[in-house]
Amino acid sequence: MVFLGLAFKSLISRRGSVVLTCLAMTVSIFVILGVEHIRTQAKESFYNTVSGADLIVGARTGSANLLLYSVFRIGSATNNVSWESYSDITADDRVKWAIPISLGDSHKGYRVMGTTLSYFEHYSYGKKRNLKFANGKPFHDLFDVVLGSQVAKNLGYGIGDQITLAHGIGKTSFSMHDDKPFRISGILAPTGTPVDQTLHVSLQGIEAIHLDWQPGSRKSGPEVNSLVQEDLAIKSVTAFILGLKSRMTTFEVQREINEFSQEPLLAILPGVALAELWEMINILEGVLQLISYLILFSALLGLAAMLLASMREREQEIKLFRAIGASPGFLFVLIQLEALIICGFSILIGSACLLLCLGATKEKLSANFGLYVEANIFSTNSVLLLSLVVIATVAVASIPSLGAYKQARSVT
Amino acid sequence: MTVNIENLRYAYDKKGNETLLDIPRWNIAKGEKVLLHGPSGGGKSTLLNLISGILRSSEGKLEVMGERLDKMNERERDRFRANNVGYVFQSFNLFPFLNAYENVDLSLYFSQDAKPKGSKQEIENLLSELNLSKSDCAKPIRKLSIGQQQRVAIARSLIKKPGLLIADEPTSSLDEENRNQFMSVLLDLINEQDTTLLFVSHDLSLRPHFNRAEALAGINQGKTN
Repeated sequence: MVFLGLAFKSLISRRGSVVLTCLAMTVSIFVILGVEHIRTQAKESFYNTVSGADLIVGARTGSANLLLYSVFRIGSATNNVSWESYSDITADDRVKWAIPISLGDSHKGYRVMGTTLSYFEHYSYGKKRNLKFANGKPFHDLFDVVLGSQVAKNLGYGIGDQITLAHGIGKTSFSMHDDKPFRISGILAPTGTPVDQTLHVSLQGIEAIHLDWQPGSRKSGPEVNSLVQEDLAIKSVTAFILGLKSRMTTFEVQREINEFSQEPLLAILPGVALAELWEMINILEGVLQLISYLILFSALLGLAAMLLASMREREQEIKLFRAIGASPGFLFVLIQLEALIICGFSILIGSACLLLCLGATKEKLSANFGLYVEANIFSTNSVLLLSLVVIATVAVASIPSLGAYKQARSVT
Repeated sequence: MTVNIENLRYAYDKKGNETLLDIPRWNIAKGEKVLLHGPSGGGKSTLLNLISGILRSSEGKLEVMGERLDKMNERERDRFRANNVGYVFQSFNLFPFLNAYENVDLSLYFSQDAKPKGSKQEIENLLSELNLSKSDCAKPIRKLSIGQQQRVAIARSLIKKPGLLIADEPTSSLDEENRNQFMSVLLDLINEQDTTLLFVSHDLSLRPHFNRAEALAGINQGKTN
């Protein structure tokens, strides 16, 4: 307690330089914890996007591209998969379930996905968690739409509201399917995945809005009232997700799809593709970590410089300490303790600022960047990182501490 | 005998080439008050640091209060100093970030012998005996006058009732009135506690307060600047 009290009072007496050093350390801890938290959360959220699926199938392209457009709704497919191929593959005895995905339309910047009811039954994310409805029910009518939680929240939609889809995936579209409005039948519970930012309609709904369309423009077509869901033949899908009866058959089915004779297709293992894709952004992750470590290093050097500079002013203080019986070891520990107090305060303030910032920007991060970040920053990783910061502080503070120790031994 | 020196040598370099102090024999009896004077750079502070155990002699016998400091390691000398030796400097006698009470209390912290004595009341009594009010004792040291600061320094060095008090030119920054007041307070307490006093000063007008006055040059055969 004496040590702690002395160290506190000594620091308070030099509050000007101490506050500045503490600020530099706080910023570096804020950055290092922030980067680590967002990095691990982004990785977790990325890997949790799809689970329980054995294969994702699309027109032949790169595996990253197929994963990006089918799961993350980023980019576009190079080609569609014909309905015949989809039917042939999903009719295989080894296939347990299939989720067709039809992309190409949007609503106010959010992607529209055509699918079947199988999607609500089999699609899972995180640790095999199924989709749940916050409100309403799946689409049953031709012009029913189910919204992801963020779409409903950000656009302020509720059950029963009518919306119009746009042709294409641009945020601003001049080609609207305004003659065939959709009615919101359900809103999904938040998942922390791209599902939250997707509008889901039936495959027939997608076919219906394109009945009177030729590539790029609209021509006259049938009236909404005359359309019957069952009469609308599906011609193609953009991709589909497969669940197999036995995991043992995954590679066999994948090989067969990749060698499919009717059209060039690509089947990917979601886990492997996710890992490959994450590897691609690994460099950025490394650069961010490196920058944060450099910021911490410079703050620690600042701390050492501040303590070292104070040694000259404290020459008399050290002499007095020695005169009243303090050992050189006592002075070594005292300087270390001062550094640790600065470090401790910086950790507290840096963590508190990060918690506040994450709490305040959580919604914006998910809405604008699709990044689902939890406000709780305390994990094994962050505790390890903070332990490293403390160890680094002790190591760096050894320079002035040793200076005080030597000075104490050579008092004349 | 409080201080007993025989053939004491001290050199700055380990080879002993430049001997600063070479004292064949010198003693201070228990309860004696000795004034030591001499030119600056003559080795007075070094001698005080040797007697207090901050420095270790290169050769010879150095006995303080019956303990052989020349045979002790650094840790033992630190403990010995904390328990038995009080120290007052010319300036910077107190930690500026502590108040008067805390400064005196810190001195007790290092003194293992003085710790169990119910020290809080003792500190308050001593400070009040030195005419320092409770409100003054709670003030930051920089808000006290030089005279008050020197009185706190006396309290700081005598609270553990040391057998030996070393004073290194404590009056040189004081005016005549404060100097006389300081000497009077110091000597009263020294006499009360039967403490031996080794006082270094250039001011030979203080001579009447001491049993004897010695010039360092008279006892030291080492090389001086």
